[in-house]
Formats: sequence, C-alpha cells, structure tokens
Amino acid sequence: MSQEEQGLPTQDNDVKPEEGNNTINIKVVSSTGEEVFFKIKQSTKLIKLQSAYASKVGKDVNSIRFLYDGVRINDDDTPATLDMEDNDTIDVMVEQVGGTS
Amino acid sequence: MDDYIIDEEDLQHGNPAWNPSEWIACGRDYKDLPTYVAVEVERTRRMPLEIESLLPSLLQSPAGFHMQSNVSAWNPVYDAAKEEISDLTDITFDSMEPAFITADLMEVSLLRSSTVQHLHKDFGQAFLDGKRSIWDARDTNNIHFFRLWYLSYAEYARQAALSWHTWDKAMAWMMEHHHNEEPEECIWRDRTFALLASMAGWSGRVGCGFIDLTFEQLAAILGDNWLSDTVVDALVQDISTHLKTCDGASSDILFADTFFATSISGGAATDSDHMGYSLVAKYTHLLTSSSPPHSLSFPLHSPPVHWAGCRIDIPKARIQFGDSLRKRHPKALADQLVVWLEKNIGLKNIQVTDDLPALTAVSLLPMRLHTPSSEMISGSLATRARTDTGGKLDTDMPFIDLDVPTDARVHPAVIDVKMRDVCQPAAFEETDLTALLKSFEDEDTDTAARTPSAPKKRMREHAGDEGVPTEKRKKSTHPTASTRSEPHTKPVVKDNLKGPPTAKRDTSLMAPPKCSPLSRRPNIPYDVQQEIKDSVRKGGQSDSAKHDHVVGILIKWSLY
Repeated sequence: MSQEEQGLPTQDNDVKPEEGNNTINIKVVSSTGEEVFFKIKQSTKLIKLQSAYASKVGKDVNSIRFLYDGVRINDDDTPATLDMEDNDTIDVMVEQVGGTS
Repeated sequence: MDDYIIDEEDLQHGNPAWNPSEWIACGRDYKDLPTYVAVEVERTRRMPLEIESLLPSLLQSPAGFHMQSNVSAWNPVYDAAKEEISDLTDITFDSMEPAFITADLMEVSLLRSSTVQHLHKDFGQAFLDGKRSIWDARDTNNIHFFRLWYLSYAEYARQAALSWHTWDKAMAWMMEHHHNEEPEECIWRDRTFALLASMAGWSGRVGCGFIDLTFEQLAAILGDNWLSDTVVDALVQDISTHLKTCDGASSDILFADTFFATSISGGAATDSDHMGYSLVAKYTHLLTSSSPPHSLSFPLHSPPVHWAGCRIDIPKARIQFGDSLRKRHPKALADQLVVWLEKNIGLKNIQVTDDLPALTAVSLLPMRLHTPSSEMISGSLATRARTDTGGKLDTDMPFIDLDVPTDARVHPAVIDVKMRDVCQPAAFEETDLTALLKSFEDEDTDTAARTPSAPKKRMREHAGDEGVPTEKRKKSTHPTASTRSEPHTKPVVKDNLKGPPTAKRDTSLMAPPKCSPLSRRPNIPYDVQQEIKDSVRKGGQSDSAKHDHVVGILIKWSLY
C-alpha cells in the first residue's frame, strides 16, 4: 500500500517544511530499506529522534547506530548543528560485535 | 516499505504541558515545568554532601577509581537477572519518616536497573501522596527507611559498581602480564598504567571526537573481550590520526570505518542505489580527488562475531582480504567492491585475493585490540588527559608503532589456536620462496626416514640436540614485512639454528654461498609447513602473492 493510499503524506508532496515554524522532514532509513519519517524542529536534539526510532522498531538505542553523511550522530547534535536540509536522510546501522583469532 | 511519521510533539514523553495534578516527574519531561517545581525536584533528589563524598568523582582517573572506590561488592550479573516480584514489593515508597543518614550506606545492597527505573517512575506521584521515604525490606533483619535522595544515590552507585567491575577486569588482565619483563612489554605497561592514572573519567562518553565511545568500552580493549564497531572505529580513527601526524608518507593510506563494508555489501555501490550511498560517497570523493590515496583499508565484520580486514591497492587494482581465521573472502562484498571501484573510481581488471597477511597494520586492527593498545589510549585521549590534569602528563606519549610484534591472543569463544614451538623470527625475500618450499620437501623425506619424534615439550628440553632454540622467542624489534616502509632487516643467524651436523642438514646448509632462506630459516613446525604448502599449491597466485601469503602464515604462527 502506498503512502497516498494509506492517507499518509508523501515525502515530496504533502510533508513540506513549515515556514516560520523552523521544522524539517528527515527520513531515517535502515539497512534493510525500511523508512521512518520525522518532522522535527531544527533545534531538537537528535537523541530524541534516535530514542523514538529505537522505540518504534523495538530495539535498544545503544544497539543501533545513526549516521548522517557517513558520520555518526552525536547525542547533542541537532539538525541545525549538522546543517541538515529538508528531506535529508539518516542511515541506521545495526551494532557489530566481534573478536578475532 | 514501512512508512511512519513521527512529529515533534511525538518526541516529547507523555504530556508535554505541565499538569499540576501529576506533580513532578512521573517519568515525564515537562517542557514548561515551573521553576519552583524544578527547584523542589532538585532539592528532594540531591544527595547530602557527606553521602556524595562516599561516591567516586566522575573526574577521577580509571586507575584511581579502581583503587580507591568502595563499590566492589556489587555483582553485575545481578543487574542482568530477571526482576523478581519481591523487588517491587520490598522496595517502595512509604509514609514513614526516613531514618537519619546511615553511615553504612555502602553496605546496603544496590538496586538493579529495572528497580531504579520503577522507583523513578513513581517518584513524583508518591511524593504528591505524602510518601516521605523509600522502604527497603529486602533484608528483613534490617529494614531501611531512606530519604528520597536515595534514588539518586542508588542510580549513581549502581553505575559506579558496574563500571568498577569493568575496570577491575581490565586491570586484572594487565596484571596477568606483570611477570613479562620483555622491554617492549614493560614500556607498554608503564605507559598504559600512567595513562590510566592520568585520564579524567571512568564512565560515560569519552568525547574527544570519539562519538559513541564510552570509558567502559575503552576498558574492553584491555582484555580478551568482544569488541563493538564503536571500539574498532575509534581505533581506526586514532591510528589514522597518528599516521597523518607522525608519518607524512602514510597519508597515502585512507582508512574507512566499519560501516563502509556494510554499506557496500548492502548495495550502496553507486549513487543510483541510493540506500547507504552517503556512507560510501566520501570515500569515492577522496579516491577520485586530484591527489588520491594509494590504498583504502578498512575493518571488515564477518558475522556472527569476527573481525577481519581488507585493503584496496588502487594503483595495482587489487583487493586484498585478510582473515586470521583464514576464511575466504565474502563473495558478495567482493563483487560489490568491484562494481564500486569500476563505476566510481575507474579501475579495470580488478584482482581479488585473500593474501593480505592477517597481522599487517591493516588487518591487524582487530587483532591489535586484543593486545594492550597503548596507541589507542595514548592518542587523543592522552591529549584530554593532559588537558584535564593540568599538563602533568609526559609529553612524549607513545605514538602508534605498527611494527611492534604483537601477542596474538585468542578469544576462547572463537577458536583455540595454540602457539606452537617458538623459534627465531624468519625473514625471506620473494625469491627465496622456491628454496623454502624445496626445503620442506627435503624435510619431509628426512622426517619420514626418522623414527616418530618425541612430544614437543620433551623436544624442547633437548633442544640443543634437536636444533630447536631452548629459550622462549624474544619479541623482535625489527619491523615486520607486512608493515610500512622500513626495509627488512636480515635476522642474525644463530648457531643453534643450524642443528646437528647431519648429512641432510649439511646439504641444505652448504648450498647457497649467500645468506639463503635455508641458512636463516627457523625450525618451522611440520603442520605450519603443510599449511604453507597447501596455500601455494592452490595456484592462481603470483609469486608476490604467494610470498605475502607465506609471510602471513609465518606471522600467524609467530615465526616471522
């Protein structure tokens, strides 16, 4: 079912940055291609987004990694400090653990 | 595709507007909490100074924290155990007046995480209901009525106790090697102890550019522990920084993080693939710049729990995988790498091999984490330590030394590879490969003609008769062939390597007038010889690749 059929706003059409409200739309994409959209303020700490995403996918926030432009996101980062633009993407990676011989 | 939209308001926990009927906290963050309420919350939760002084300062060094803290009684296993019903009934809020500050607070059993969270959630409402103490009846002979600040205390003490056990494990691992008096070990040990005594902090985020790295994860480096991508990436970052700082030539080496391989495997080879391409794009940009690096090296996660390495030699259009477990390279990743290199970097006729020596500076990254990685602790972290300790730290910090031979410790959960007979380090040139293999064939014949040999332990006792060195091999100060630019140093031929003057050995020794691999070749165990022979028999490798592979095997067995 598409977004339009579900009644959800699509990224290109309905979810627009609200002028004057200083909010942007951010897409969080997992390594398996699942997408979650966020509409947050430029000043909102991304740790909140991370926590909400982890809660949504049912994982511990410490077991997943969030990267913007290939760089890990810090707890104190905000869209403004990272110069994020509307409809930017945050990549999500699963924690990797290992040893060696 | 799962589409889901979360608004700004959804990011707030519960009711973002303060509700007086719910009083304070209740597990929610109110964006408009009145000042007088915030002050009351702070006052209620603040520990008295005399209690706070019992707990270790967050600015204490790991060594000081480990030695001076009195939080060792906590068993971290308890924290992971399933919460019992009694935890919820024996520890709760009560209307009784709290007792005076008890002096033996440290002897009270700590609370597990779930219990602390449970109490925090109910704290505000309990306060509103006139509850003035926390009733702890876990010990029926000694029931406590704590003041409400006990919540803050319990949370802090629990974290300190968990962290203490982590550092205790690391310190114990360090002390295991205290008997090792080899100069390199001593130098490393002294420096590491000094750093652990000078860093500021023992828990929480390390900072200094290591975004996710915590002090507890840092402690995991000191020991045979599973290592997360955060630690591996931090080490790669630290090594890369030091190479750029200390070795100008090494700017030819570009390091990628652990997510690079994951992204490539996931199909992020081209911009059109989009998904995860942003993780790859920066490396594409660097490798296509006007002065591109000669190689791209990155750690490689091999599920479920293993780290390997990979190096892409750009001028030679060669992808080299290296794995200490000698696994073949993951084909899907190799295929995607080829696509990425062809489409983005413009390479042609790309060769994929598994001959990256597993202990080189690149693929050794995970392995080195099992060794005392002083370079990890001594780099940027040392800078922090200097800053935080008023510059008392020695400015001649140990920078990375990739040439130092490492002790290849084995994680018991992965595979139990024992180091075999130790012997003098070997070194041979590419042209020596044939002669070395020839010597194995000769030795096969020799071995077949002899009676079965005694057990290795007993052989070592009579090493003088068998040609095996009697002393434990000293760590070489020579650089390994697999590391950077320094030239090979020919090992000194020791008399005890020549062995008894048997006819067969005499033949092999007298052959070349110059220093041949046979004359300086150590006594290589039979099974290692077989592994080398099996490796070169596979074919399809150039002499150079075979040479590298043999070097890798020798390094793996600590024979190089």
